[in-house]
Amino acid sequence: MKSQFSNRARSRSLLVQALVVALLVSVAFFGFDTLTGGLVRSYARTTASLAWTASAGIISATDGNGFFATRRLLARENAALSERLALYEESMARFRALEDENEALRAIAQLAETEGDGLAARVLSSLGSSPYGTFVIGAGERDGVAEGSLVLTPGGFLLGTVSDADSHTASVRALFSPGSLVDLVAGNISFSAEGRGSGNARAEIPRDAKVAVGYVVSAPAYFGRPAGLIGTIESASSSATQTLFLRLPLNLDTLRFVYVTPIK
Amino acid sequence: MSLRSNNIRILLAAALFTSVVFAPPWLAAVFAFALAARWRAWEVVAAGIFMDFLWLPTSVTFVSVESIPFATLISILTVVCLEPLRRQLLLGPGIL
Repeated sequence: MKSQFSNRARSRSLLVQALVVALLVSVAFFGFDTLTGGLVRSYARTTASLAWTASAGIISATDGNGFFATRRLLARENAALSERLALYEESMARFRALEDENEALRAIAQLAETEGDGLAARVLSSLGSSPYGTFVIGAGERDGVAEGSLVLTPGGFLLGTVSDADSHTASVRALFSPGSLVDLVAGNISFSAEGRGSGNARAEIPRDAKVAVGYVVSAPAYFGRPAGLIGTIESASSSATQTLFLRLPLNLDTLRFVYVTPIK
Repeated sequence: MSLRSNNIRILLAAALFTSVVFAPPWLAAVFAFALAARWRAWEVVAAGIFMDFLWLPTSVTFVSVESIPFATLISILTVVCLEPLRRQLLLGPGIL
Protein backbone atom coordinates (compact mmCIF):
# COMPACT_ATOMS: atom_id res chain seq x y z
CA MET A 1 0.00 0.00 0.00
CA LYS A 2 2.77 2.37 1.07
CA SER A 3 4.80 1.38 -1.96
CA GLN A 4 1.86 2.04 -4.30
CA PHE A 5 1.35 5.47 -2.71
CA SER A 6 5.03 6.35 -3.11
CA ASN A 7 4.93 5.15 -6.74
CA ARG A 8 1.99 7.44 -7.46
CA ALA A 9 3.67 10.38 -5.74
CA ARG A 10 6.82 9.75 -7.72
CA SER A 11 4.82 9.46 -10.94
CA ARG A 12 2.98 12.74 -10.21
CA SER A 13 6.23 14.51 -9.44
CA LEU A 14 7.69 13.22 -12.72
CA LEU A 15 4.61 14.49 -14.58
CA VAL A 16 4.99 17.97 -13.11
CA GLN A 17 8.68 18.01 -13.96
CA ALA A 18 7.98 16.84 -17.50
CA LEU A 19 5.21 19.43 -17.86
CA VAL A 20 7.60 22.20 -16.86
CA VAL A 21 10.18 20.88 -19.32
CA ALA A 22 7.54 20.73 -22.10
CA LEU A 23 6.48 24.31 -21.42
CA LEU A 24 10.10 25.51 -21.35
CA VAL A 25 10.89 23.68 -24.59
CA SER A 26 7.77 25.18 -26.25
CA VAL A 27 8.66 28.68 -25.07
CA ALA A 28 12.26 28.20 -26.24
CA PHE A 29 11.13 27.04 -29.71
CA PHE A 30 8.56 29.78 -30.21
CA GLY A 31 10.87 32.43 -28.73
CA PHE A 32 13.71 31.43 -31.02
CA ASP A 33 11.33 31.47 -33.98
CA THR A 34 10.01 34.93 -33.11
CA LEU A 35 13.50 36.34 -32.51
CA THR A 36 14.80 34.96 -35.81
CA GLY A 37 11.84 36.31 -37.78
CA GLY A 38 10.17 32.96 -38.42
CA LEU A 39 13.23 30.81 -39.17
CA VAL A 40 11.79 27.67 -37.56
CA ARG A 41 8.43 28.15 -39.31
CA SER A 42 10.25 28.59 -42.58
CA TYR A 43 12.11 25.30 -42.09
CA ALA A 44 8.90 23.53 -41.06
CA ARG A 45 7.09 24.76 -44.18
CA THR A 46 10.03 23.94 -46.45
CA THR A 47 10.22 20.40 -45.07
CA ALA A 48 6.46 19.92 -45.38
CA SER A 49 6.41 21.38 -48.89
CA LEU A 50 8.82 18.62 -49.98
CA ALA A 51 6.31 16.06 -48.64
CA TRP A 52 3.37 17.84 -50.30
CA THR A 53 5.17 18.02 -53.65
CA ALA A 54 6.16 14.35 -53.46
CA SER A 55 2.63 13.27 -52.50
CA ALA A 56 1.11 15.36 -55.31
CA GLY A 57 3.44 13.60 -57.76
CA ILE A 58 2.53 10.16 -56.42
CA ILE A 59 -1.21 10.91 -56.53
CA SER A 60 -0.94 12.28 -60.05
CA ALA A 61 1.03 9.22 -61.22
CA THR A 62 -1.30 6.67 -59.61
CA ASP A 63 -4.36 8.52 -60.85
CA GLY A 64 -2.96 8.63 -64.38
CA ASN A 65 -2.15 4.94 -64.33
CA GLY A 66 -5.65 4.00 -63.14
CA PHE A 67 -4.26 2.39 -59.97
CA PHE A 68 -7.49 3.04 -58.09
CA ALA A 69 -9.85 1.97 -60.86
CA THR A 70 -12.37 -0.76 -60.11
CA ARG A 71 -11.27 -4.38 -60.16
CA ARG A 72 -13.61 -5.20 -63.04
CA LEU A 73 -12.22 -2.39 -65.12
CA LEU A 74 -8.69 -3.38 -64.31
CA ALA A 75 -9.36 -7.03 -65.22
CA ARG A 76 -10.79 -5.97 -68.56
CA GLU A 77 -7.86 -3.66 -69.16
CA ASN A 78 -5.33 -6.34 -68.22
CA ALA A 79 -6.86 -8.74 -70.73
CA ALA A 80 -6.99 -6.24 -73.54
CA LEU A 81 -3.94 -4.09 -73.19
CA SER A 82 -0.70 -4.91 -74.91
CA GLU A 83 2.61 -3.40 -73.90
CA ARG A 84 2.29 -0.84 -76.65
CA LEU A 85 -1.17 0.18 -75.54
CA ALA A 86 0.05 0.50 -71.95
CA LEU A 87 2.77 2.82 -73.09
CA TYR A 88 0.23 4.76 -75.12
CA GLU A 89 -2.10 5.08 -72.15
CA GLU A 90 0.72 6.23 -69.97
CA SER A 91 1.47 8.94 -72.51
CA MET A 92 -2.20 9.85 -72.64
CA ALA A 93 -2.39 10.07 -68.85
CA ARG A 94 0.60 12.35 -68.86
CA PHE A 95 -1.01 14.39 -71.60
CA ARG A 96 -4.26 14.65 -69.63
CA ALA A 97 -2.41 15.74 -66.52
CA LEU A 98 -0.61 18.40 -68.54
CA GLU A 99 -3.88 19.42 -70.16
CA ASP A 100 -5.51 19.86 -66.73
CA GLU A 101 -2.56 21.87 -65.55
CA ASN A 102 -2.65 23.92 -68.75
CA GLU A 103 -6.33 24.65 -68.27
CA ALA A 104 -5.74 25.81 -64.70
CA LEU A 105 -2.86 27.99 -65.81
CA ARG A 106 -4.91 29.41 -68.70
CA ALA A 107 -7.53 30.59 -66.22
CA ILE A 108 -4.77 32.17 -64.17
CA ALA A 109 -3.29 33.80 -67.32
CA GLN A 110 -6.68 35.36 -68.13
CA LEU A 111 -6.76 36.75 -64.62
CA ALA A 112 -3.20 38.05 -64.99
CA GLU A 113 -4.25 40.04 -68.07
CA THR A 114 -6.81 41.94 -66.04
CA GLU A 115 -4.87 42.15 -62.78
CA GLY A 116 -1.53 43.31 -64.17
CA ASP A 117 1.48 42.60 -61.97
CA GLY A 118 1.18 39.45 -59.95
CA LEU A 119 2.05 35.82 -60.30
CA ALA A 120 0.50 32.38 -60.39
CA ALA A 121 1.47 30.13 -57.53
CA ARG A 122 0.87 26.46 -56.96
CA VAL A 123 -1.14 25.49 -53.87
CA LEU A 124 1.18 23.13 -51.98
CA SER A 125 -0.84 22.07 -48.99
CA SER A 126 -4.40 20.94 -48.60
CA LEU A 127 -6.83 23.73 -47.76
CA GLY A 128 -8.49 21.62 -45.12
CA SER A 129 -5.48 20.49 -43.09
CA SER A 130 -4.90 23.61 -41.07
CA PRO A 131 -6.80 24.23 -37.85
CA TYR A 132 -6.19 27.96 -38.35
CA GLY A 133 -7.60 28.29 -41.88
CA THR A 134 -4.19 28.72 -43.48
CA PHE A 135 -2.56 27.03 -46.46
CA VAL A 136 0.83 27.12 -48.12
CA ILE A 137 1.64 28.25 -51.65
CA GLY A 138 4.79 27.61 -53.64
CA ALA A 139 5.92 31.21 -54.08
CA GLY A 140 7.79 33.37 -51.62
CA GLU A 141 9.76 36.55 -51.15
CA ARG A 142 12.09 35.72 -54.05
CA ASP A 143 9.07 35.79 -56.34
CA GLY A 144 7.85 39.11 -54.97
CA VAL A 145 5.31 37.71 -52.54
CA ALA A 146 5.13 39.71 -49.31
CA GLU A 147 3.03 39.79 -46.18
CA GLY A 148 -0.35 41.27 -47.03
CA SER A 149 -0.33 40.26 -50.72
CA LEU A 150 -3.78 39.30 -51.93
CA VAL A 151 -4.44 35.72 -53.03
CA LEU A 152 -7.14 35.25 -55.65
CA THR A 153 -8.86 32.24 -57.17
CA PRO A 154 -8.54 31.73 -60.96
CA GLY A 155 -11.95 33.40 -61.23
CA GLY A 156 -10.71 36.53 -59.42
CA PHE A 157 -12.44 35.91 -56.08
CA LEU A 158 -10.49 36.89 -52.99
CA LEU A 159 -9.27 33.75 -51.26
CA GLY A 160 -7.11 35.28 -48.56
CA THR A 161 -4.00 37.26 -47.77
CA VAL A 162 -0.39 36.24 -47.31
CA SER A 163 0.25 36.11 -43.58
CA ASP A 164 3.87 35.10 -43.69
CA ALA A 165 6.38 34.65 -46.51
CA ASP A 166 9.80 33.06 -46.64
CA SER A 167 12.10 32.67 -49.62
CA HIS A 168 10.23 29.98 -51.59
CA THR A 169 6.90 29.43 -49.85
CA ALA A 170 4.27 31.58 -48.19
CA SER A 171 1.51 30.97 -45.70
CA VAL A 172 -1.89 32.29 -46.72
CA ARG A 173 -4.67 33.06 -44.26
CA ALA A 174 -8.01 32.35 -45.87
CA LEU A 175 -10.51 35.21 -45.78
CA PHE A 176 -13.16 32.86 -44.45
CA SER A 177 -10.91 31.10 -41.94
CA PRO A 178 -12.79 29.71 -38.92
CA GLY A 179 -13.78 32.44 -36.48
CA SER A 180 -12.54 35.37 -38.56
CA LEU A 181 -14.77 38.42 -39.00
CA VAL A 182 -14.89 40.04 -42.43
CA ASP A 183 -16.71 43.20 -43.47
CA LEU A 184 -18.62 42.58 -46.69
CA VAL A 185 -21.08 44.31 -48.97
CA ALA A 186 -23.95 42.71 -50.88
CA GLY A 187 -26.30 44.84 -52.94
CA ASN A 188 -27.02 47.94 -50.89
CA ILE A 189 -26.17 46.53 -47.48
CA SER A 190 -22.92 46.09 -45.62
CA PHE A 191 -22.51 43.51 -42.92
CA SER A 192 -19.99 41.51 -40.97
CA ALA A 193 -19.57 37.82 -41.78
CA GLU A 194 -18.02 35.11 -39.65
CA GLY A 195 -15.73 32.66 -41.41
CA ARG A 196 -16.56 28.96 -41.07
CA GLY A 197 -13.58 27.50 -42.95
CA SER A 198 -13.37 25.74 -46.34
CA GLY A 199 -14.46 28.91 -48.17
CA ASN A 200 -17.70 29.30 -46.22
CA ALA A 201 -19.00 32.12 -44.04
CA ARG A 202 -22.17 33.08 -42.23
CA ALA A 203 -23.75 36.47 -41.64
CA GLU A 204 -26.89 37.96 -40.19
CA ILE A 205 -28.51 40.93 -41.89
CA PRO A 206 -31.80 42.77 -41.41
CA ARG A 207 -34.81 40.91 -42.70
CA ASP A 208 -35.83 43.67 -45.10
CA ALA A 209 -32.45 43.80 -46.88
CA LYS A 210 -32.79 43.14 -50.59
CA VAL A 211 -30.47 40.21 -51.31
CA ALA A 212 -30.93 37.00 -53.22
CA VAL A 213 -29.20 33.67 -53.66
CA GLY A 214 -26.34 34.02 -56.12
CA TYR A 215 -25.53 37.65 -55.27
CA VAL A 216 -21.82 38.37 -55.24
CA VAL A 217 -20.51 39.77 -51.95
CA SER A 218 -17.46 42.02 -52.04
CA ALA A 219 -14.89 43.03 -49.46
CA PRO A 220 -14.47 46.83 -49.19
CA ALA A 221 -11.26 46.43 -47.14
CA TYR A 222 -9.72 44.69 -50.13
CA PHE A 223 -10.62 47.27 -52.78
CA GLY A 224 -14.09 45.88 -53.28
CA ARG A 225 -12.91 42.58 -54.66
CA PRO A 226 -15.50 39.81 -54.86
CA ALA A 227 -15.20 37.51 -51.87
CA GLY A 228 -17.95 34.97 -52.43
CA LEU A 229 -21.54 34.25 -53.34
CA ILE A 230 -24.69 34.04 -51.30
CA GLY A 231 -25.35 30.32 -51.27
CA THR A 232 -28.42 30.09 -49.04
CA ILE A 233 -30.68 32.49 -47.18
CA GLU A 234 -32.55 31.39 -44.08
CA SER A 235 -35.14 33.47 -42.31
CA ALA A 236 -37.85 32.79 -39.79
CA SER A 237 -41.06 34.83 -39.77
CA SER A 238 -40.56 35.54 -36.06
CA SER A 239 -37.04 36.90 -36.51
CA ALA A 240 -35.97 40.43 -37.42
CA THR A 241 -32.89 39.13 -39.19
CA GLN A 242 -32.10 36.69 -41.94
CA THR A 243 -29.04 34.47 -42.08
CA LEU A 244 -26.82 34.41 -45.13
CA PHE A 245 -24.62 31.44 -45.88
CA LEU A 246 -21.78 32.52 -48.12
CA ARG A 247 -19.47 30.35 -50.17
CA LEU A 248 -16.74 30.57 -52.73
CA PRO A 249 -17.89 29.58 -56.23
CA LEU A 250 -15.35 26.78 -56.62
CA ASN A 251 -14.33 23.54 -55.01
CA LEU A 252 -11.32 24.35 -52.85
CA ASP A 253 -10.24 20.71 -52.75
CA THR A 254 -9.46 20.81 -56.45
CA LEU A 255 -7.77 24.22 -56.45
CA ARG A 256 -4.25 23.82 -57.80
CA PHE A 257 -3.16 27.34 -58.64
CA VAL A 258 -3.86 30.74 -57.16
CA TYR A 259 -3.02 34.23 -58.32
CA VAL A 260 -1.01 36.40 -55.94
CA THR A 261 -1.14 40.13 -56.38
CA PRO A 262 0.46 42.87 -54.29
CA ILE A 263 -1.76 45.26 -52.37
CA LYS A 264 -2.51 48.25 -54.56
CA MET B 1 7.11 -1.69 -22.05
CA SER B 2 6.54 -4.58 -24.44
CA LEU B 3 7.85 -4.54 -27.98
CA ARG B 4 4.32 -4.73 -29.39
CA SER B 5 3.14 -1.79 -27.32
CA ASN B 6 6.21 0.14 -28.39
CA ASN B 7 5.50 -0.60 -32.06
CA ILE B 8 1.89 0.56 -31.73
CA ARG B 9 3.09 3.77 -30.10
CA ILE B 10 5.57 4.38 -32.92
CA LEU B 11 2.90 3.70 -35.55
CA LEU B 12 0.42 6.03 -33.86
CA ALA B 13 3.05 8.75 -33.55
CA ALA B 14 3.93 8.38 -37.25
CA ALA B 15 0.23 8.58 -38.14
CA LEU B 16 -0.11 11.66 -35.93
CA PHE B 17 2.76 13.53 -37.60
CA THR B 18 1.57 12.50 -41.07
CA SER B 19 -1.95 13.70 -40.33
CA VAL B 20 -0.61 17.05 -39.07
CA VAL B 21 0.80 17.64 -42.56
CA PHE B 22 -1.79 15.99 -44.79
CA ALA B 23 -5.08 15.35 -43.01
CA PRO B 24 -7.85 17.41 -41.41
CA PRO B 25 -7.18 18.54 -37.82
CA TRP B 26 -9.78 16.21 -36.31
CA LEU B 27 -7.81 13.17 -37.49
CA ALA B 28 -4.65 14.46 -35.84
CA ALA B 29 -6.73 15.01 -32.69
CA VAL B 30 -7.92 11.38 -32.78
CA PHE B 31 -4.36 10.05 -33.00
CA ALA B 32 -3.19 12.47 -30.29
CA PHE B 33 -6.00 11.36 -27.98
CA ALA B 34 -5.28 7.68 -28.67
CA LEU B 35 -1.62 8.17 -27.81
CA ALA B 36 -2.23 10.29 -24.73
CA ALA B 37 -4.91 7.95 -23.40
CA ARG B 38 -2.49 5.03 -23.23
CA TRP B 39 0.93 6.59 -22.72
CA ARG B 40 2.39 9.73 -21.24
CA ALA B 41 3.09 10.65 -24.86
CA TRP B 42 5.25 13.74 -25.10
CA GLU B 43 5.40 13.23 -28.86
CA VAL B 44 1.86 14.63 -28.84
CA VAL B 45 3.29 17.92 -27.56
CA ALA B 46 5.99 17.79 -30.24
CA ALA B 47 3.27 17.28 -32.86
CA GLY B 48 1.36 20.25 -31.44
CA ILE B 49 4.44 22.45 -31.68
CA PHE B 50 5.03 21.23 -35.25
CA MET B 51 1.40 21.94 -36.14
CA ASP B 52 1.73 25.50 -34.90
CA PHE B 53 4.98 26.09 -36.77
CA LEU B 54 3.40 24.75 -39.93
CA TRP B 55 -0.05 26.33 -39.83
CA LEU B 56 -0.09 29.29 -37.45
CA PRO B 57 -0.48 32.44 -39.58
CA THR B 58 1.95 34.59 -37.57
CA SER B 59 4.75 34.35 -35.04
CA VAL B 60 3.78 33.40 -31.51
CA THR B 61 3.43 36.67 -29.57
CA PHE B 62 0.18 36.26 -27.60
CA VAL B 63 -0.78 39.83 -28.55
CA SER B 64 -3.66 38.68 -30.73
CA VAL B 65 -5.84 35.59 -30.88
CA GLU B 66 -4.28 34.48 -34.14
CA SER B 67 -0.80 34.44 -32.58
CA ILE B 68 -1.71 32.04 -29.77
CA PRO B 69 -0.34 28.51 -30.35
CA PHE B 70 -3.56 26.67 -29.56
CA ALA B 71 -2.33 23.33 -30.90
CA THR B 72 0.65 23.34 -28.51
CA LEU B 73 -1.45 24.39 -25.53
CA ILE B 74 -4.16 21.83 -26.26
CA SER B 75 -1.60 19.07 -26.78
CA ILE B 76 0.04 19.83 -23.41
CA LEU B 77 -3.36 19.89 -21.73
CA THR B 78 -4.29 16.60 -23.40
CA VAL B 79 -1.18 14.84 -22.12
CA VAL B 80 -1.57 16.24 -18.61
CA CYS B 81 -5.35 16.00 -18.25
CA LEU B 82 -5.47 12.38 -19.35
CA GLU B 83 -3.12 11.42 -16.53
CA PRO B 84 -5.95 10.42 -14.13
CA LEU B 85 -7.47 8.24 -16.86
CA ARG B 86 -4.14 6.59 -17.55
CA ARG B 87 -3.69 6.08 -13.81
CA GLN B 88 -7.06 4.33 -13.56
CA LEU B 89 -6.42 2.11 -16.57
CA LEU B 90 -2.77 1.34 -16.06
CA LEU B 91 -0.71 0.67 -12.97
CA GLY B 92 3.00 0.59 -12.50
CA PRO B 93 5.69 1.83 -14.85
CA GLY B 94 3.44 1.36 -17.90
CA ILE B 95 2.20 4.92 -17.66
CA LEU B 96 5.67 6.41 -17.81
